[in-house]
Amino acid sequence: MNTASMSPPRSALPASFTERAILCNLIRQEWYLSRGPVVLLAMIWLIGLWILVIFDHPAYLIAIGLCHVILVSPSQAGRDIIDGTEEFSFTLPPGRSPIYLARCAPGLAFLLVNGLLGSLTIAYSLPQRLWSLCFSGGLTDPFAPVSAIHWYGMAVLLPCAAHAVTVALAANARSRAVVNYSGMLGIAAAGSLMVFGFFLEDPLWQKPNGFIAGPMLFAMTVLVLRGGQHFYCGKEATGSGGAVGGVRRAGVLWFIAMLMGLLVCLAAFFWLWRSVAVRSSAEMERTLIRQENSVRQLQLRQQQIHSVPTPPVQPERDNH
Amino acid sequence: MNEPAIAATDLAKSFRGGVIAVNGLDLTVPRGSVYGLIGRNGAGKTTTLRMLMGLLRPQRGEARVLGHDLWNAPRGIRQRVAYVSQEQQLPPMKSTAQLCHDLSRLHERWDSALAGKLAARFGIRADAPLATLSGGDQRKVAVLLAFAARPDVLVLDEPAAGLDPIARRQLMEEIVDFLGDGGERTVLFSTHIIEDLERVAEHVGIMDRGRMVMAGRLEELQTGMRRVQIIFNGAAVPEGFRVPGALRSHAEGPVLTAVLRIGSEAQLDALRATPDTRVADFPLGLQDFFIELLDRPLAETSPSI
Repeated sequence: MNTASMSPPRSALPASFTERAILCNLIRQEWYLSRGPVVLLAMIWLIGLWILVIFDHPAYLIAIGLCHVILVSPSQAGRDIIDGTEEFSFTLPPGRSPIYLARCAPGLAFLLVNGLLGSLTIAYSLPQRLWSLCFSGGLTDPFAPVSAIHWYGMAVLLPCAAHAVTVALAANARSRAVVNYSGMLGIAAAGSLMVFGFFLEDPLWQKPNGFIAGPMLFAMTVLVLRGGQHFYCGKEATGSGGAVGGVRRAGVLWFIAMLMGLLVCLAAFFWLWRSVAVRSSAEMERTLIRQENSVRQLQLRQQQIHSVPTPPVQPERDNH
Repeated sequence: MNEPAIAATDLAKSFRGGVIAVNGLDLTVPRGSVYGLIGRNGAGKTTTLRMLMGLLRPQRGEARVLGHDLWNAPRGIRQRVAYVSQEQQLPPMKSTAQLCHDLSRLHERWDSALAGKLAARFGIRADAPLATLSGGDQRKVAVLLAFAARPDVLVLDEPAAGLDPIARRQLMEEIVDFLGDGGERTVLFSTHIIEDLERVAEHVGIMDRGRMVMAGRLEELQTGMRRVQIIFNGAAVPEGFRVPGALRSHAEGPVLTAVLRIGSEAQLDALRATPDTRVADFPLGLQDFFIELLDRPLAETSPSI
């Protein structure tokens, strides 16, 4: 048996045991465990934005962020429940708080990089500028950054808020069912808050601009992560026997809550869509009326021009 | 140092549905000793250990390890305590080597050489993901990780469960080695295997229905426990006859059998002096004593014990 592999590869280096070093080690371990799907999402991000240059809208970043929330965040935060290793984790020297931070940090870092770097990439058409060095033309037009400023904010804040809810739920869950649903619940909660923010913005600015939704999502991210940490620090360990999967009564309640959240979310989306559509059609109508009026005025003027006899052209007089 | 390694006073914990797992438990484990905890299934051993380890919060009383409540103890204290739970689950996708590497970054006193030695001794495939190992091998890995952390206090919840006899013997030898390693190392373990207990434990605590019904040094329990038979000359045991200090007694015809904790021979002499009786006493092994003490319907258990 190869017992040489039992010793740490970097045993020659003195290990550092400051709180920061311990946290970094925990984060590194978390990254190691969830690197597969994260690398996959990063590849999709890279290919869609920089190589194929076919997704030039922040909605692409939101989609990638939400995919992370569905696929990676629950398994990161709820790994102990899924694997039944909560007793093992809770008896490690660092304790609960650093473990919680280590579980939430890699996902948050990915979502921030995805949102911020992606927004910069899209807003300044960086891939097109890059490829224009090699090719003379581009397939897509740059997305107008100023008119869609709230989309950029949402590309960062919406996935982060959804991640925060997911982490808080999955880390504090006591059954696998809750961990499995936590991603969808996180998206439903963050999405509902975003739509609610837009709903408040609509009468104030006549269009959603993220001035209320953005701070609300930011506050949600901070508060939910902090609250999740507080509850996690007071969580009793679930034994491996207690974490057996299957939908229990609590799971069913969560599922119903999730469905209701989704329904509220959908209803809010449809309401927003309809209001935007109605406003758009009203604006279009007004534009048409304006166009018709201007055409009529033009016609009237032309008629007036044709009906008034033009005075005969006077020969120029030479005043000299 | 006079402060015990582990001290619990009036510890209580109940679960949803009104199940009382631990009820007013007192436990003191001296530093540098091996303390064995035995009891029937559901006696509250695991819950007690989990409260001591800061995995569960007691509803009453307090549990201290090395003078601290491990629920919110600083890292410096937590790394001096290692625990192997009854159904230890380890990260399934990691190999033993990876796990050792990760833990060496969290435990300041991690002993890689000892981890390698134990892996070889237990015959563990170090590079295989834990999910591919058998249940017994996973248990060995859990024990290996606990020992390699070089803790001052080692808490083992039925460590031999799922181990073959050879691995069990190796584990007991490792416990002995661990104690002889210098420093005041303390081991608290729960078990159902009396043989293991007799092999390594210095102190024994017997739990029943969430309480400590008997605790003391192993030798005292082994030598001080007697089964006493009092044979009356008549057809039956006289009505209302009681053996003073009996932990348990039952009458059958003219024979009264009692289990006694003998403090001195004078206690037996007093019994022998009972008129119209013959008294015979037999030493009780720990296993017999355990069975004598706890083998009865739960309703019969005396609350005053």
